[in-house]
Amino acid sequence: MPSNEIILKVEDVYKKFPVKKRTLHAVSGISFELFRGETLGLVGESGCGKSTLARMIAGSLPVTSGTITLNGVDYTKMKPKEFRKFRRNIQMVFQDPLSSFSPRMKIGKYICEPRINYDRVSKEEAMKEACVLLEKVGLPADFADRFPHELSGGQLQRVAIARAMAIDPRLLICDEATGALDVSIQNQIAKLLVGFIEEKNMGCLFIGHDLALVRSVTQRIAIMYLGRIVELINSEDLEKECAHPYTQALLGSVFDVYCDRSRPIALLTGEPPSPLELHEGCPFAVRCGNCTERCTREVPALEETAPGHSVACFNPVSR
Amino acid sequence: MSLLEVRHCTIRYQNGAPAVDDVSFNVEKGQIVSLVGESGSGKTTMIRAILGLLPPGGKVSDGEIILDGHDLLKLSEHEMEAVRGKDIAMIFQDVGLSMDPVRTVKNQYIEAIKTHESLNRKECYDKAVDMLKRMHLTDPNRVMNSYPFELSGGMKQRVGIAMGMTAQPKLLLADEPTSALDVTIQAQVVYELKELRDKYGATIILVTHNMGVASYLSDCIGVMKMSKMVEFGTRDEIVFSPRMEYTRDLIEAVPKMGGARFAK
Ligand SMILES: Nc1ncnc2c1ncn2[C@@H]1O[C@H](COP(=O)(O)OP(=O)(O)OP(=O)(O)O)[C@@H](O)[C@H]1O
Ligand SMILES: Nc1ncnc2c1ncn2[C@@H]1O[C@H](COP(=O)(O)OP(=O)(O)OP(=O)(O)O)[C@@H](O)[C@H]1O
Ligand SMILES: [Mg+2]
Ligand SMILES: [Mg+2]
Repeated sequence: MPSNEIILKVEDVYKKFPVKKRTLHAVSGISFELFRGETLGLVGESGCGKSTLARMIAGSLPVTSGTITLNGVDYTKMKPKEFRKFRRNIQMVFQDPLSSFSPRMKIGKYICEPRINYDRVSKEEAMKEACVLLEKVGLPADFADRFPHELSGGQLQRVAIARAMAIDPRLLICDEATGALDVSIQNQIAKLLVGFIEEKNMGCLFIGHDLALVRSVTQRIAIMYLGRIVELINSEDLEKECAHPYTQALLGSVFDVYCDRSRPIALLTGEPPSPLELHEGCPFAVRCGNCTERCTREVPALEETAPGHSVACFNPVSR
Repeated sequence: MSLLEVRHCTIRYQNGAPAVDDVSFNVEKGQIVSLVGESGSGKTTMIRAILGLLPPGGKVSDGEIILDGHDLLKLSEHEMEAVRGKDIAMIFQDVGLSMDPVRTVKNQYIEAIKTHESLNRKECYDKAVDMLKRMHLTDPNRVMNSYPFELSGGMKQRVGIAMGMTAQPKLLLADEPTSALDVTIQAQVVYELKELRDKYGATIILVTHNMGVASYLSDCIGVMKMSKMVEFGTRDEIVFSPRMEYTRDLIEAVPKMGGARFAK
């Protein structure tokens, strides 16, 4: 159960990338709070800025503006030396695991590294722990002796999760950390993660594309579109209460195992807008069935419509 | 005659136990066949063997892989290269890694087109942009001029799909092509894969963990577990009347919108 103690606070964070004399708006004014013991889901269109936001929170990418505080400490402006120590508090499982491994480092050493570096645990001790962790994520302990390229996509993802679990961070960020797993192993890992977060009473940001999975491991879900949060909702209520037309489009696009194959695919019409030139008005307007004249002029702010439910839309879906 | 016949194929890495153990299946022309199943069961290994590009240390130790009547395992590396450009293309599981990190998408894409078509640079560029648009990438020109690290995971994945489709191969091997995409773009890509088959008669082998996508697209589905193909059948057989317990468990395990939540 999440407490009411705020562990992570993200305030009006922006990220702009210079691209050939132009500006790419990857993250545009995101604010939210994460409570101790809570897992917040982050879903949204490919390229909407989820990983960019995650990397800023992990401290591996500087913010353009805004503040991020963990337990009250703003670490966005810390000196590199100071941050190196602070970094231990935040562990991240990256979207493409292989890129975060060094090709010549064996799996066991990779898992041990943070324990040895931060906690000064002996090599033997850390290796023992690594083997236990490997088994926890459903891999044989002798994988410790393998090189990363000798593992399948899903096996690597589990190694990355094992490493993040090796030390007790205050905040865990999982960026599409289970996308390469088959559904049965995915369920095991989901349970393992939920148990781990509860036991250590940490905070977790869980980025994913499988809405049903994200719903099952989180308390709240933030839906992003083009650099902004457009809806924030209790996970339990996602299906019944969601009010943003984009959230609705997401829910309508899922392929069911027992689907009727003669039905045409439900496609969201219109082109997603470019992050290179932000137009006036709501970024979703051009693709939205509820769009009115006002939507093309003004950007709707994220406003609370019910306890625990915020929406950025002038014409939310009514029920 | 089937377009592809995999007969009693066994594949090993170095000295280990087989990563693929005595696997056989057929793919008819114009079919979409999905391989689903356990992580680490040999799906990527199987389709890389069809492409003739196993990672170092990997070797087909037994069996035959027959495309259009020719055993691909008997071709020289040189002959196989010609097959790869024209007849078989692959979308890799980690597209990001199959791209060169220090070269722009444009250079890599144009080079790829030039291996199988005699077009000038401008024509190649236009063709590439056209394919990127079909993948619903918003700024195709920006994407072309980007280095891989400047693109999001799903953007790289779509570049990979576009590159794989451009060659209009007889056989397209797609390893987890939609795993990094949000569901609205996933739907678009599923639509494009279906079009590729319906309009251009392509044959597709799809490796995926998304049982919904496999169910929607496939004519046949093969289920793998621990190096073996434990079940192979039509889509309806696998989805509605699976014979193996593992297949049933797999379908049962698909997360459902109204299903149980682990988080309290
Ligand atoms: N280093 C960079 N330089 C320039 N642009 C970048 C850079 N990193 C990311 N971007 C751009 O920022 C936008 C957001 O990318 P990000 O990786 O955060 O998306 P995402 O939401 O994680 O998408 P996905 O679900 O596909 O992984 C994209 O348009 C991307 O091209
Ligand atoms: N280069 C390699 N050297 C040694 N073993 C390998 C190598 N590549 C893969 N393996 C092993 O072969 C087995 C099959 O791997 P493969 O990548 O084919 O699985 P997969 O079914 O694609 O899994 P996933 O769904 O996780 O991607 C795994 O146990 C893996 O550890
Ligand atoms: Mg991402
Ligand atoms: Mg694989």
